[in-house]
Amino acid sequence: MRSITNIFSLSKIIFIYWKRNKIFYGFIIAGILFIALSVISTLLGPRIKERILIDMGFASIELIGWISIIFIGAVTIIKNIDNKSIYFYLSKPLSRNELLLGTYLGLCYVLVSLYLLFCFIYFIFLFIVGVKVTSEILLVFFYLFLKLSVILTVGFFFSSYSTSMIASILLTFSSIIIGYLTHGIDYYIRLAEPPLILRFIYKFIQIIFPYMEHYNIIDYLLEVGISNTGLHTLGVTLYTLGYIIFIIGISSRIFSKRDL
Amino acid sequence: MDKPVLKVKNLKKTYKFVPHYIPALSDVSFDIFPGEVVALLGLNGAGKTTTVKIILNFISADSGETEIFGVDSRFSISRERLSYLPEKISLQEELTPSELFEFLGRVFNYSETETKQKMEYLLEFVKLNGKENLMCGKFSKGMLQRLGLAMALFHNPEFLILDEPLTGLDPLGMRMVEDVIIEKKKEGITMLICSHELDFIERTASKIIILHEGKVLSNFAKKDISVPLKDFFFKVIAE
Repeated sequence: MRSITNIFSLSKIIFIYWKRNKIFYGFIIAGILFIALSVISTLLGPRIKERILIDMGFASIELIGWISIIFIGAVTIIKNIDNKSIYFYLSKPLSRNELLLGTYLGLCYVLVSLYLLFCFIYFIFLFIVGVKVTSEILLVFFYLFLKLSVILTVGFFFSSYSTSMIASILLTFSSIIIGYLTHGIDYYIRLAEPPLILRFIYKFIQIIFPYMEHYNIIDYLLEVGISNTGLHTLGVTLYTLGYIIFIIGISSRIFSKRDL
Repeated sequence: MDKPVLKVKNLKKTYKFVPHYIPALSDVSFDIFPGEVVALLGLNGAGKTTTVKIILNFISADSGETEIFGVDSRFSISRERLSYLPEKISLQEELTPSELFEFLGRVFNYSETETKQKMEYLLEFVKLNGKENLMCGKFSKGMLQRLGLAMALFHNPEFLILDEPLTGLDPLGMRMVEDVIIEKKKEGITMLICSHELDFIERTASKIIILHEGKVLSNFAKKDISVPLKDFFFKVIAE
C-alpha cells in the first residue's frame, strides 16, 4: 500500500513537471501546426480532401507523437540524475523501483494527455471539414497509441541506464527502426532458410526489440475489414502490455544497480 | 551502550572510469551514536561525499556495510527517520514548494491538514512564508537552500545528514542553519555534518572524524582534542 502511494505521489510530480515545461508547449504548438498543415493540404485536392485529411492528419500526429515521446521518454531520468534532483527523492523512504515506476507512470500521464489533445484537435478539424469519425479511424488511433506507448517504454529503458541524453535518444530511435526492420528480415528468413543458430539470434532480436509491424493496422484493416479485427487487436494489446512489463522489468533491474 | 544510529563498516569503493581506476574509500569504518553531532572532515577528494552517497544508497560500495537504525542502508525503509540536506539542493524548477511538501506529506503518511500546517510553520521558520506557490526556478540559491532545510525538517527526523550546509548561503542563511543545528543538538537529534568550515564545526560538533585519501585518519570526541580544531586538523593531515 505504501509503495503504491509513493508511486502515485511521484507520478503526479513528474506529470506536473512536464506539464509546466516549456518543451511540452513546444510539442503542442508543433502538433497543432502539423495538423493544421494537413487541413491546408486539403485545398490541393478538394475531391479527395477526406483522404488527404485522414492520411496527412494521421501522419502528422504520428510524427509529432514520435518526436515528443522519444524525447520525453529518453531524457527524464537522465535529466533528473544530471541536475541531481533525483537525490531529493531517493533520500526519502522511496525505493529505486518505486522511483522508476512512479516516473514511468507520470510519463504515461504525459503521453495520454498529449495524445488526447492531438486527437481532439484533429477530430475538431475533421468535424469542421465534414469528415465523419468512423470506427476504422478510431481503431487506427488506438493502434497508434499502443505504438507510442512502446516507444515511450523503449526511451524510458535507455534513460534508465544511459548517461547521455543524446545517446539515449539515438538508441531509442535506432531500436524503433530495428523494430520495423525485423518484419523485413522475417521475409528473408523464410526465403533463405538460414542455419538454426542465425534463426535463434534473429528470434532473440525479435524478442528484445519491439515488433513494430504489429501496429501496421491499416493494411490488415483493408485486408479483413473492421468486423474481423477483434482478436488481432486483443493480441496486439496483450503483446504491448507484455513488452512494456518486460522492458520495465529490465530497466528496474539495471537502475537498481546503477551508481547515481 | 546504545545501538548506533549509523554503522559504517569496512567500506571500500573504487570509481571505475575505464581505463582509469580511482580509489575513493579504503576500509572506512565508524559508528555514530544517538545524540552525537559528528563532523566528517577532510580535504577535497578525501571521500566525504562518497561516504555520504553510500550511506544514502546513491552509489554502492565495492564491499562493506552501512546500517541506519540497525537497517541495511540499501533498503528504503532505513531512510524513514533520517533527512539529508545536500551542499546544493536541486529541485525541479517547474515545481512549487507546496507541491513538494504535498509529496513529502504523502510519502511520510501525513494528512493534508497536517502537511499544510507543517509547511506553513516551516516556511515561516526559514523566512519563505508566502512563497509556497512560487516555482522553485524563481528562487535564489540561498532561498533554495533554506527551502531544502525546511523540507529536511518536515518529518521531525531523528538523524540529519548535512553536506556542506553553509555553502552558498548569505550570513542570514548561515546563521539560520547554525541555529537549527544547535537547537536540534539540544533536542538530542543525531547529526552527520560534512564541512570545510572548521570554525562552524568547532562550535557545533561533538565528535570529529578526519578522512584523508579515502581512509579514516582520526576519530575523536571533540572534548578530547585539547588544541584548536584548525591546528588539530592540519596536524593530522600533515602526519
